[in-house]
Amino acid sequence: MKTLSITTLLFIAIISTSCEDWLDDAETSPNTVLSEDLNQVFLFGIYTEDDGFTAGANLLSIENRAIELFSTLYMYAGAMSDEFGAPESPNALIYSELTSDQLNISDGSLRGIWEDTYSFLAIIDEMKANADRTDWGTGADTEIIRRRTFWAIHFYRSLALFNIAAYFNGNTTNTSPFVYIDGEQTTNDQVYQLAFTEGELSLDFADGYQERLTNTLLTRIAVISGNSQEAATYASNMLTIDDPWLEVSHEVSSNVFFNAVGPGSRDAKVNQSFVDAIALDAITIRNPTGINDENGELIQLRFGQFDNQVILSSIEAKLLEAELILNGNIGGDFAQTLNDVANFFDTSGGSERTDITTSLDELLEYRRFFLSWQGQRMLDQRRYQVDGQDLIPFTSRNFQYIAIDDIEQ
Amino acid sequence: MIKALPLLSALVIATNSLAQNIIEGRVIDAVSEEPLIGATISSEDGQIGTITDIDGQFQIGAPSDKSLAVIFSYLGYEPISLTVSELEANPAILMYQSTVGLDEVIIQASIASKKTARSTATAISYLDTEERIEQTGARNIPELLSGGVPGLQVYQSTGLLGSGVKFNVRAGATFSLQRDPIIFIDGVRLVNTNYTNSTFSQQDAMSSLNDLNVNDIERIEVLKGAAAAASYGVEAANGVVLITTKRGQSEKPVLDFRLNNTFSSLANGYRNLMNSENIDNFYHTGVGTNANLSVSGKSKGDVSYFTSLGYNNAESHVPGNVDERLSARLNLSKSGENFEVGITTNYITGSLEVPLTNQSRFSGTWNNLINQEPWTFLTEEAWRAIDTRFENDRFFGSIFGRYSPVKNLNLRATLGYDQNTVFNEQLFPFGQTYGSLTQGSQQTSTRRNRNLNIELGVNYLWELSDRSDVRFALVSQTNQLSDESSLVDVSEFPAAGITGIGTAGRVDNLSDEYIEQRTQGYYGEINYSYQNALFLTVGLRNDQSNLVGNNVSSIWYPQANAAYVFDNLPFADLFKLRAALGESGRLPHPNDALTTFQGVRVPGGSGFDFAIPGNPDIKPERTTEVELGFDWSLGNHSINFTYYDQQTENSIIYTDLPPSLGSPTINGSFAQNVGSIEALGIEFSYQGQLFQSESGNFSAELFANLTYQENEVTSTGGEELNTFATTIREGLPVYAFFNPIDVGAEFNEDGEFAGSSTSEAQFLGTPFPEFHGSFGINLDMMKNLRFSAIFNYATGFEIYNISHRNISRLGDNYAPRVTAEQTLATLTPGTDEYTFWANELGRFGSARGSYTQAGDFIRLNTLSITYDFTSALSSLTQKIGIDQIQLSVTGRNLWLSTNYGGPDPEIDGIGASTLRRGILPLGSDWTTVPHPRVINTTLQIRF
Repeated sequence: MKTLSITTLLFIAIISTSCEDWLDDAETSPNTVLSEDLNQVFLFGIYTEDDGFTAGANLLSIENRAIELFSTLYMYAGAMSDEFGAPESPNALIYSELTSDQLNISDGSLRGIWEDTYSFLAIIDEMKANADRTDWGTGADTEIIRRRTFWAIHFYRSLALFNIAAYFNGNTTNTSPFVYIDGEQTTNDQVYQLAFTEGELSLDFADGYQERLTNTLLTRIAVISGNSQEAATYASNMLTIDDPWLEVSHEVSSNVFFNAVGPGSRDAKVNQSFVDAIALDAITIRNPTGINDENGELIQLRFGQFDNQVILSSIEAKLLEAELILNGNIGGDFAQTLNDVANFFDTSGGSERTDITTSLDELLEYRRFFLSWQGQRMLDQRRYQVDGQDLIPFTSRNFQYIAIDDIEQ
Repeated sequence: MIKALPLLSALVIATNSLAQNIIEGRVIDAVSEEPLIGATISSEDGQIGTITDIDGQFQIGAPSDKSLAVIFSYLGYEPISLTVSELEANPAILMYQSTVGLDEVIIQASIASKKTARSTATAISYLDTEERIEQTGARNIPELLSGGVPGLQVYQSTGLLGSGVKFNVRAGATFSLQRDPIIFIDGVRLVNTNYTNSTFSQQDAMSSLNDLNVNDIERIEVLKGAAAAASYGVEAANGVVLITTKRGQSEKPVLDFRLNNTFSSLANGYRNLMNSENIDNFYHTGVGTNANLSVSGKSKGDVSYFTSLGYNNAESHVPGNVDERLSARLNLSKSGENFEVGITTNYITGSLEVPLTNQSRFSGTWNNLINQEPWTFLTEEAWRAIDTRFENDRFFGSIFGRYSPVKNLNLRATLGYDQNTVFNEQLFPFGQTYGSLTQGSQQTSTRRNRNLNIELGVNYLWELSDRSDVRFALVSQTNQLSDESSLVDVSEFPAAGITGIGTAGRVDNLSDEYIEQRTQGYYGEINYSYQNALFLTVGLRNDQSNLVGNNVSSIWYPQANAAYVFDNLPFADLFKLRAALGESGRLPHPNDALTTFQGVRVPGGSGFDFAIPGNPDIKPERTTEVELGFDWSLGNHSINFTYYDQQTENSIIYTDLPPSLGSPTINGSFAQNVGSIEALGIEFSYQGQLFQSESGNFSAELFANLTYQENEVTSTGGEELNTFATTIREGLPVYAFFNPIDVGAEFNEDGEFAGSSTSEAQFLGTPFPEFHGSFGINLDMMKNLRFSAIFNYATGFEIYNISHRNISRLGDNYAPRVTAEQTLATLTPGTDEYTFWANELGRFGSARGSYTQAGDFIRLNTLSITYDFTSALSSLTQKIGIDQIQLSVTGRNLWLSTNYGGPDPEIDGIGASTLRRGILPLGSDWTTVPHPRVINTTLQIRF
């Protein structure tokens, strides 16, 4: 009887044995990986004395999403400005929108921008979660990788949040703009603050160049969001004129911008007024144009199929600096700052001007031509509109933000 | 045929020989006095299990417990239950044939317990496979089940040999494309995958269910709804099919040989075509041969064996559609007084050639349908040169054991394994022209499915008194399913005759996929029985799976049921009332729960990007079912009636998420449990012996079953899911046809036809029938001639005839349109006749609803005649030891009446169950091959 009881109880025990570990050990497809597979130091980067730091797959993943986002976002943001001209027969949705001066939420491409923006943020968040779970050890090399990783994560997160606040709005006007964070309505000002916070966090991990890059971004955020006090602080250590620019590379596949404006696909017509306003060789060098052989239209030649998209540059830093000088937030030579920009493109010095009068119009002209095709004209349009009138010479647009798709609402 | 519950009865005569501790007896037909070979003799406690030999004789050890019930059962006869004492007093058993009645057949009422049909409180259907094959000439599982089970519609989704199998189980209250019941064969959980060839279409091409050799099957039980299948838990909401293969039963070895020849041809010509000759002539008469040999028996040491070898080589009515298959089976078991151990094994190797007849430009059917001139897009030679084939090797088997250490306590264990490797190739050879493709292409894929399941159980019968008892049962069920596939797609071969993958100039596609599903379930059950009249059951199942989200803990599925049986009422010999409540589920897709990433090439190296956003909260769809019914029998007549009501919650819908929630949305791929569906249905079956002559030389049996079902989507979480043909939207049945229709013509200022006038989208019906069922008659004449006819029918469903729409839009062969066009060209605008024909022409524009056609049909599914030559050739048969020789001739699909515009309403080219996210256009006829007419002759010889 005892044996029977033991046998039966053993059998029942076997039946009742939980197999949670066994369930969790199920294999997944070799075609995909899970988050838990991405917690390795080498996936964030490799560092050697000889070759320095090389970004790993996790950080390159952020770069990949950035490519998709910025080439699309800045094209649409540019389409809101005077850089583009609408052809007589719009052959892409973006030109239709430009012609009708609308960016409707019914446009699937707009939804794509919103999704791209959040996909960028999502991949950053995913990589941050992976970085937080990673065992970094105590080695000097891995410490370098760790610092590069967390700087990049916080920096790009700041950039992503800035883009959300600067370009999107749920009500498509400039009245109490709001966006969605985690599905909740959030004012654009609150999102700017989140961007500031992330940028500040990144500085804890930055080296000298990264610090200047971050400060340039934070200055941009401060200027765009109207926080001149912070702007003055960050502007003291922005990118220098010879610092490398932050660009997204299109060496693997053609940029989305090219899909609409590149030779061989569709040429981007340029507004004649834009070209007519060019008064310096430096501007011509920065904004080459040409004639389409088939239709005789004036087209831009700046961007080719595999050309990089600029995100942050020393040129923008100089113009931010000039703006802060103009507004009296910092001291400095306004005219020399603008000439530094012109001289960067026209190394002959022939574009250096002596007649600069330290005016907003002059600053806006330089922003118009030297930040063209980067999508910042949309931001300028909004912040330089006073009493309902544009202070900069391009067509007033109905939309000052990109509309958020109704999937959020 | 189905013994939807019962049959049989018994009685006794014969010799009586009571030796020491041995009971010997004989079982014979009460009317004909012929011995019943293979009648089953079993005891309630499971310690007795044997069958009668060739002379109807049996021999069992006499149990010491004289009150123990010994049950005699034989398919087609009413069972007899006698105590050991009664049996010792009179071991000559007379059994009466029966067509109706609540029988004492032992069935698997839940995963934990076998019960008599009398004590079962849900509508469980039971199929006697031998009899069914004889009546229907069934060659595969769908033919075996078709029309045989109320509430279950089963058919191959195309008329091609080996094609996908479609199950419509009850009201189909699910959005899921996994609509098959789970299938066990001898305890092995089968991988019942439908394969497609995706080069040019998603049309179902091959079902792994076709691997089963129906000649090996003893019986099939079907648990249809959540109430009956709750004990099977998280995957059982589509029901459960339990297949039991044959065992050796008599000490004398039985050798059974069957030779089967089939002739397949187009059953019903195409209609509504200007020229149907091309497509009708496209088909031919395909010839097939199936040979099956089995040997079975039981040694004196209680070792039972059954082994079989089957060979099949058949061509369908589509030229080149050839199914060649070799199957071998070995079942062994040894039983003792308190134990049984055994194995079942089955190996299948085969090849299936599937010529293109799908919705591609290179389809043989499409090229003979679209225009009045055949072969529009390629030559017939080029079509015949396309080589599409599947080759598969499959093994499945089980090891099982049962041990009863003391009376009333049973321990059991089963390990099942199924592995199927399928190689698929589609070759477009160099030198033939396929559109712009002239240098050939080849797609090859290899897919390996594996399933391992382990089931452990313990149950104990506590006898409270002579009149009541309680049975406790606990079961553990573990299942591991994996699906591994790789694909290589190449093109541009250098020369004719060169087809190796490595020789191709271009690699177009490579993929490597793996899916794994692990589930673990526990089930506890308590049964209470009082006076063999009141039966109560409560059970609770707990399941865990790697396919549910990390935030979801285990899932519980309760069930409870009750039955009360009244005997010998004025209006009934037996009347059973039953009620059941149960819940079961459908697992999410393997890609629903976990966020996955895929590699991407980026500047500077490689990175990752989101592949599919997972939902950590995803859980199984849950169906709750209430089932009420009664079973009635009086004399040789019986009726079974069941009403059920289903409520499905947590149905999975794939949508886009608001991006700001942090998970990038990719083409509506985020799974959410936001849907719900309500459904109800009625199942009715009648079985009765209309006539039996006093001599027993002639008897007539009638049977009929009717199923009514409906469902309605009550919530989609605000979403509307559309395919081009069907939609899921609130207030409509699942997969409803919701499209505009062309209502007539529009006219220009001159009164001339200016195109079709189209309505708003409207509800046009559902691909699932409101009513379906079957009825038929069995006649037994002169003891050796049997005649059977079975009709299937279905009404209240629609089919989207894509073929007609495409022919109308793209070709010149759609008669209604061409006739209207030609007539209109001869008429003067403005006249009444012109207006009439313009409106006729307008009705055949491009609106999909205009080609959604009613599918109502009634079909003479099978007609069979079987003649048993054993007596007529007695001098010969006795001389060479033949126990039985009979010849059957069966015609399938002999007659069809339908108002459907295509050749066959019982098809659904991409409708078979599939492991896929989202929805598909179910109920579509897209150049789908109709089911053939099959003449089937079977010679059966038993030694």
